[in-house]
Amino acid sequence: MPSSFLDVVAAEFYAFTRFYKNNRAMMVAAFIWPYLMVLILLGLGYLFGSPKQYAERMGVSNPVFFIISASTVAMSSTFILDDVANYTLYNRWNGTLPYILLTPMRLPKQLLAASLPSTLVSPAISVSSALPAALYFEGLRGAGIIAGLYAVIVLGMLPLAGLAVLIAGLVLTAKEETNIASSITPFLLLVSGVFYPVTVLPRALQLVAAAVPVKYVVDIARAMASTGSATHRVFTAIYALTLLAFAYNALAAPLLGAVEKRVKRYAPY
Amino acid sequence: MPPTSKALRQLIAVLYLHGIRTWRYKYSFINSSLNTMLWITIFLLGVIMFVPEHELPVVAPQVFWGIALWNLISYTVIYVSGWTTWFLVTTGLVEEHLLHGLSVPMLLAGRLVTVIAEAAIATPLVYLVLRGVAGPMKLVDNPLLLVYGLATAEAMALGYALLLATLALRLSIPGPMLDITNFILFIVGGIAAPVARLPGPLRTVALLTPYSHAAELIRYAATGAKPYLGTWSEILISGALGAALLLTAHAVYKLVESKHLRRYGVRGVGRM
Repeated sequence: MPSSFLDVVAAEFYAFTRFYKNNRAMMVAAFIWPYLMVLILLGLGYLFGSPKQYAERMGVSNPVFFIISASTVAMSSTFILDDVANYTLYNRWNGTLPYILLTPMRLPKQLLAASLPSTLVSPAISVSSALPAALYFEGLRGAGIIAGLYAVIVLGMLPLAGLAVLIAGLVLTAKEETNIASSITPFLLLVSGVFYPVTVLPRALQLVAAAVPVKYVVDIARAMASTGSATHRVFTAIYALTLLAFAYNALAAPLLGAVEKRVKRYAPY
Repeated sequence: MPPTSKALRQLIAVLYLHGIRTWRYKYSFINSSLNTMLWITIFLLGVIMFVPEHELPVVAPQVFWGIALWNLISYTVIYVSGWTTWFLVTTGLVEEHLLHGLSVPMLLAGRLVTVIAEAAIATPLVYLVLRGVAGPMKLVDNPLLLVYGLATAEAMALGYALLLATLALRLSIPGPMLDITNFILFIVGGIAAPVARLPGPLRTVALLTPYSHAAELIRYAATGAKPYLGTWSEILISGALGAALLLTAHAVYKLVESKHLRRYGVRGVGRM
């Protein structure tokens, strides 16, 4: 009986949860990481300057809360890019890649199914880890903002789905030991101005930022933590994310078939 | 063959192995260098937002060297101790080296080839970004002392990384997961900021952290900021701590090799 897309998604969810079940240290690390990022930035910030200066420049009321929100975005909003590429590499190392490539399901669909658990669960882990801090600093409002961020992060993943599958194909045909495209993730975060306004970046990078979905996720996080009214900024960012989701996936669709053909021909097993 | 000649031949072989391996995986290497540079830049730009503009010329070089040093230290730990479990053990190379009477720590120390090459690419790129934000700045005042400071910090990091790698061989837990001190020491251990800038109790913690002494020398050589314990004291302390950590790592490895690895073998075949 041929497997449906949902069957594959369910199987991937099972594999993903088993992985965390067998690697509890990884789970603990995922909870701690956003705090480590916050610790570094705040620690250096307090040592060399003042949080008041940061709040003024960023236009946020509570810099600590904003950095926690921004770290949650940084940790989770680009999971999709890394995880799809690492999924293919991981299966190659394990020797299970040939079986995946031989299944009747088209490779792009298979990779998309593989990305869903991480896309949904990894941001949920980051958001849950940030919740106690949000409650402490901003009370229920903070918890609400962090929970709302989860929906925005998932929305921010949609435009990246096609790109992630293309990168996974590139990684497989490159015959290297690691994900050679992993620097795309910090690049997207860099131009998105995750901890600073994009205006500090060179003009060319500011132009690139306009086409990067993560920038709009960060915009929403900043608007939610800002001193003024945020409704207009939040809706503008959601509108931009929706447009980018259609544009990116429409652009990626014609390339996916070519990527699949190339992977099946050249991918080293 | 005399022991010195054997050790020299092995050293050349190890350097060749890591050199050629870095070349073979050149795209991974370039990607990794860019990755490092981009992540550092993200944090650097965030930190700059805390600093009043008129203080940037003084603070920027200190932040730069703090982050450059931390990058060198943490990548040494990740590349040496992480590689032990994720590559060396999985591919069965530990047993292979033991059978041929070759030094596993020397093989692991060869990862410094990759670490240093990566730092040589990433650090200037970070400087260019910082210069774009903070303007031109003087980064080196005393090159010789700067090299000494970096070398002693690297010796400490390598000693610590080899200790973690040895623990990983004994416990079958990846080395970087055992490294819980990395982030904390960066802030409170006198790496990120001069010891004199830290509040009272943290200053004591920093002085007890080996890296802080090398970091003080690097900051002095770069910006002229006087070391907390004086220049000559820091030169002596850094050198002594670097040597002590390397010797301790070697002794602990020898103990684990004779009491555990040669008796019970290496655990952890397979990726999970």
